[in-house]
Amino acid sequence: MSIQTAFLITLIALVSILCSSCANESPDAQLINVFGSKGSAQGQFKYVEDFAFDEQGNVLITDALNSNIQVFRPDGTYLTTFGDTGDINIRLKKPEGIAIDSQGNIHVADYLTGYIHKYSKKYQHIKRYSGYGREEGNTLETEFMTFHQNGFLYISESGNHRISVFDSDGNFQFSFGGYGTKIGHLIRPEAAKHNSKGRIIVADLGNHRVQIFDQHGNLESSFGREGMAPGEFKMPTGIAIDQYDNIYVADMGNNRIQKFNNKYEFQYMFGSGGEEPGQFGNIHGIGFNINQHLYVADTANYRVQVFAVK
Amino acid sequence: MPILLNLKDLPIGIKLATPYPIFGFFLVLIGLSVNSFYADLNNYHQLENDAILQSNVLLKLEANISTMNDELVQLLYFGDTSLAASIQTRAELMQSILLDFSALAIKNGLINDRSLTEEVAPAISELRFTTNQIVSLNLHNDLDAAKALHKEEYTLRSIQIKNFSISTRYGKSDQIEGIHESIKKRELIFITAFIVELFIALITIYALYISVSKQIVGSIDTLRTATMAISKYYSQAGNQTASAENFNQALRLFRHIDSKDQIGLFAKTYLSMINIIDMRSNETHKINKMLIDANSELLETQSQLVQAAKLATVGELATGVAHELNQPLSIIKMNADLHLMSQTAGANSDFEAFCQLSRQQIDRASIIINHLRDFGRDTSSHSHELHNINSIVEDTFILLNEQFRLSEINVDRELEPGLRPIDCNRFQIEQVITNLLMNAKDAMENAYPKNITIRTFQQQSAIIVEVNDSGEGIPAMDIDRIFDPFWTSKEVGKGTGLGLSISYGIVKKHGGDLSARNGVERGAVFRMELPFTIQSDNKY
Repeated sequence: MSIQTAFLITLIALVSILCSSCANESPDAQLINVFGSKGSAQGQFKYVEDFAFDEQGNVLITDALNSNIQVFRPDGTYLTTFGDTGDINIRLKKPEGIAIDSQGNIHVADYLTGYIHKYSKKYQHIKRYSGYGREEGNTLETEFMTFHQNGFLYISESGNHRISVFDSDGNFQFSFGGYGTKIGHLIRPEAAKHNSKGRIIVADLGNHRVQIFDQHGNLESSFGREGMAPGEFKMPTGIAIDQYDNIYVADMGNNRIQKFNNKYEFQYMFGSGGEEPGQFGNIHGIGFNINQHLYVADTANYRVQVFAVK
Repeated sequence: MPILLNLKDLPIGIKLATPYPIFGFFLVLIGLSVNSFYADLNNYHQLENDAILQSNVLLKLEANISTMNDELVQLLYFGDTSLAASIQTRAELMQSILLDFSALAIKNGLINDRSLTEEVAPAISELRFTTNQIVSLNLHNDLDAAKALHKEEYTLRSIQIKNFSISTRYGKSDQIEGIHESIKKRELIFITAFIVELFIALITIYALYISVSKQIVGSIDTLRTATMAISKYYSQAGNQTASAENFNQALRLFRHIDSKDQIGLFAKTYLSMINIIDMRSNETHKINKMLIDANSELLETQSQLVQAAKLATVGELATGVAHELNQPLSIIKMNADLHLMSQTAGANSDFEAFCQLSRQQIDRASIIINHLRDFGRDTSSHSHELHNINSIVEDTFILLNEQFRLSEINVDRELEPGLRPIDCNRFQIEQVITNLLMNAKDAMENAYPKNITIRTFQQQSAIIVEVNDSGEGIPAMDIDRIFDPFWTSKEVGKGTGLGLSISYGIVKKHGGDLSARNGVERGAVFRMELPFTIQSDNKY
């Protein structure tokens, strides 16, 4: 072997060591659509939070800084906007959580005011309920929520470190969780979603874990811990459940999405921090549409990315 | 590797300089990599610094909020209006702190931080607005309810900001730690790469130096060995095989240095020089040998000359002796005659017979002695006369008969009768025939049987005399030299080496030819050819 060859090999080795942090491509998730850009116009975003999908397959997207909800057709084209008009009392300030009840009414939680606003299918404001406060029935810094098959709304309150439960008319039922690092306790929960078995899956952001409760608020399981390794989290935000009850967790601090099966075992992960398509920045809510495509709130990049996942 | 392939053909100067560009290349390479690594590390250190700075900025934000809360309590519940300006300044400061944080986030591409800043920005501006409201309401000592509402708003915002700060700062320590890890990793890679590069550079340059010096020193070594072999070759001139082997080995070695550099050229030049020297040396050898041969020939000739001189003296003496012997022989003959005359015829026939025999023998002795005298004389002054060759041949035997008898040599004389007489110096021709016969006798010393045939006959315009012996014949290599003066096959002291040479001269003077060849069966044949007319003068 010549000296030149040895030298070349060394150079290549050095370059590959330096580039080892490049390109983390994953065939598990394929990017199929990206929409949105920075701004306040139609189809633009300032701070994408979470998704809800109506019966027609339209996606409703909450924007915390534009203080509105934009509706897009399944193909990603803009449909309408609501929530940012009208009386000061019904105008949204910082909408984050959004869920649709069995009648098709749309419930939107306002992080700043503590009110939960109820809209009709036609996006007409019906009422508002709850309110700002620490007492039971009031909410503080509401985040992502879900309408359970039992008809109740489960809403995470990062300010009160708990999950509060309301019926679809806004009557408070009960709450669970509470501040703490012990299992069953929560610190700034960011999302509460449910699976087909009726279990509540909570992104316990402050404790860097995911906790599973039954519909009565009894702890069933818990997984994950703080870190960068697979199965570990840094401030998990969004939760999405697919038709097979696989759990997808938006790992905001690590700029990735991790998949766990219904036995809470790690499957795979994808994404990295950045501005390129397929990369993430400050991700928040995630959710599956009726076609089982995963919508990701790529908040820092003012856009929504849609993936076909395995 | 063109450089390595052609290395041996490069001039020594360039050869020696070859490692330097490589050395320079590695120097530049190492310099570049050190530079890029340094820049990269610097970048990471900057990133680390910025992260720490961001963390500090957030702490400042939190401290500011706490102080602001305290001051607001003082203002609202204890009416300390002197704090109003301070509170407003702090609210303003919060915005600039956030801008600082955001700028650092954008600078380092921390999109999460930037996004979180964007989220909290409206809260901070609202906080400022609310703070202004509270302060102005308080100064006017106005509406408690409105004040309470603003207070609530303020609390909301401040919590929001605090949460933002805490959650953003949370990531910071991790981030700093991560960067720190990266720096450590990079330093390790850097050091490893540096060592590897240095190692490769040293190995490469070392290998180059080795190959260059090996090439040069190897050539010089070969040159030295070859030169040694050459000097051995010349010093061992006595031992032919060994020296030839040395010489061939040297030539092989010289040809082995086939590089096109100065050493190669030197080897080539040296080789051609050796060839020239060798050629010259061979010539010298030849000349030496010729000189030695000539010298020994000269020495031999010298001794032949001594012998010839002796014989010449004997010849001269023989003439004197013949003259001296003639007188006693005349007296004896006279006495024998007197005895015959004093006897009456038939009285004593025995005595008469004895006297007759004595007379005959005295005559014979006279003839021999006279012939010897004639033969010994300087014959060159004698003029040419017409002579029958056969009578000359017969006269020759007067002196030689006894010799042949003693040597038990049988002589056949095949003399063609009636040959035309030739114009010649008979003594000289007799000398030639005597020489040829004596030569034939000497050539048959160890031969058996010993036969000499002498033939005379006529051929065209010449008379031929051929003497054929039954000896060994003449060696082919000697046939050309046989008539050279002082050349002889006999041992020193036996012959003069002049006989045939002189004979050749005599025959040539007579315009004839004397030649020698080997006989058909055996022995040598000497052939004398004498023309009837003589062109040259008769001096010898």
